[in-house]
Amino acid sequence: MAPEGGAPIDYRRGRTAKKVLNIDWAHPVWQAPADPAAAQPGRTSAVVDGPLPAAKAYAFVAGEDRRPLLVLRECDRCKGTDHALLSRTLDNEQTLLLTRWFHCIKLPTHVTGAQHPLRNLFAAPQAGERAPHLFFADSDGGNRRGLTGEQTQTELWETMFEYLERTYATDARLAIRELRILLSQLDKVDGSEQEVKSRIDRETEKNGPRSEKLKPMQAELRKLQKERDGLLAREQELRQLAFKPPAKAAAKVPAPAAGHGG
Amino acid sequence: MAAEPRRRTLAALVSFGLALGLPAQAPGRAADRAGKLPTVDPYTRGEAEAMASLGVVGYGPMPWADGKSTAAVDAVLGEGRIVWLETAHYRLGCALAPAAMPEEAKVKKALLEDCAALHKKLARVPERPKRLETWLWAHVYALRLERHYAAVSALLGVSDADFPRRGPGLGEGPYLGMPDKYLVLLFQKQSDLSRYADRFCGAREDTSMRHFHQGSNQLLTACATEGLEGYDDNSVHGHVLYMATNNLLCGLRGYLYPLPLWLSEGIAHWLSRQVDSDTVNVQILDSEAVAEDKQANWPVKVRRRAQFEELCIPFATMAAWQDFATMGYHAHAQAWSRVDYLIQRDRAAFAGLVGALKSLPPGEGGAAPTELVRETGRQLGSRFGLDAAAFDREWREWVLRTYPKK
Repeated sequence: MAPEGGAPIDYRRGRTAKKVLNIDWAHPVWQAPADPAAAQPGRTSAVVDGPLPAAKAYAFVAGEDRRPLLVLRECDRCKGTDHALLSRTLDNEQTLLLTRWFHCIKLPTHVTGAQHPLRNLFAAPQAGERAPHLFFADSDGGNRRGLTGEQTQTELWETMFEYLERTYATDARLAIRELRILLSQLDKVDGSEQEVKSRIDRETEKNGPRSEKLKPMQAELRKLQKERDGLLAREQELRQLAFKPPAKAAAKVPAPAAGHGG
Repeated sequence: MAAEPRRRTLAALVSFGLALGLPAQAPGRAADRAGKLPTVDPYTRGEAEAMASLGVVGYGPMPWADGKSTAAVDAVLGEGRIVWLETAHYRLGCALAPAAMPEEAKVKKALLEDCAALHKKLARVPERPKRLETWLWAHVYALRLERHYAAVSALLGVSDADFPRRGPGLGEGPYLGMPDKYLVLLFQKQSDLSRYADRFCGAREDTSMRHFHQGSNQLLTACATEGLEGYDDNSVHGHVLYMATNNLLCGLRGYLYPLPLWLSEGIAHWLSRQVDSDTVNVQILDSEAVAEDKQANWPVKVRRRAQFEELCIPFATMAAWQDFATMGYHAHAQAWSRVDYLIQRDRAAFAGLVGALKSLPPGEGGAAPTELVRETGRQLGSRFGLDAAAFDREWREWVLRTYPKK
């Protein structure tokens, strides 16, 4: 059972697999042009800036990264801020693996505030509508699609694959299949490695570092480490989906909502 | 001249809780908060007498670091999400989420003792709360940090009276020599720490960090409990004290250079391990084989290795350590044990050793003095009558005589 309020991580996965499954969130913070007051010791200043135009906000969060964007807005009402993306009851492994092909951006709760520099990223599609909890978009902000955070996992995956198919030449579905097998192999190696390390530690403490029993254990350990290196190398290969050439006529960046930032 | 800004990411991730697949119970995991925090301290209500009872000298907005106020931090992280509280030696920002009182006996006991201590100071603080709100977390950690400051001062044989404000520079201030108060940020969310690190430190870190705010000569301890997977509150408490100790040692007589690594790490472990926790603040290197059982039981682990001289790290090697990243489990454990030995042998001499090593003229460009290693040897000789070989021998004999076998 997942801990109350926390992200539903599968605790059965081993150390290395957990690293692979970690979402690599970026938390970009817009820095207003230098404030001379801030540089003076003993003086204080608060950062005050208005919303950036949408195109500039997209350019800022995307940077040089060509991967499609997955942008999540944190929410204090959510029990754990990743719940808008991850299911509390279903297996999230595929979602977690898919995020690696997205540039994952997490923005703070007050991003929808009137003066937040990145407010226009979460502008509601129509007046009176609620801002999405998360959205997907191409790296230039085109083809934006918002989700409420209450979407089904199937809807989420369909959306994610839609972006992957548009962005990458390689089939992510095939890579996912192999990655999941690879995670289990990594778990096996991690488990065996810890078991051998425990034996080495106990033997070292009992009979010292020159014990003859240590040699075969150390050989076993080296073999496992080599095996894991091979699996991780394969994992990296599977991660590298080839990009499609940029489309000639990409969808336009959504028009900016009210704001005066520049 | 100040040393280079020093930022240390602590991979303090040895956790039996995690190893056994237990659910994490870091403070505030049971987050169900909505809206903003009360702006007025519900316990002191901003009343001077009540504030004095709890050792609070001020609330946010207040000056923070590098010429910025807490309002600047709020502007980046969100208004009304962080309790800002100032004590005699610290400025604390706390965004730990509300959580039910933990069920695990030793964690609950520690928290209840701290709540009882607060209740004794001010009856409005509940003696046995069922739930810890953010404001209560802030007071609990303020209490712990000030208590820790006193413990560090006592260990080093100093008091506030030894540090009158003599000027604005490093070594001239009232906070063990630093000109301004030490900073602590306790976040729930990794995203908060990540944004703070990015915006205010120019760093990329989302779990725990120490940072030197060079513009205002302040040392920061910061962590996000969400990233400390498998940590209960005792583990978080120990982790915060471990980092805070390192900062106080850096700040001692001004942050002109840090203490030798073996000594600062040894002291930080020695003090933080006084919290009853199943975690240790070390990174086990990939090259190290450490069984999961008894990982946190350092007396036993150190003793078992001390049976074999080849497994003991010679002091000559230890004294020259400069790279935290290469220190593994056994390096930390043995550094802790060396410090344990010296303190048990002669506490006053130990205080003198640390004070002497922080009183050297700094090296060029804020580097550690070139003679720091040699001076360590000289101080050990004059204060403990130990040269490196004698230190190795006598420490090992003491470990085998003193620490339990199992």
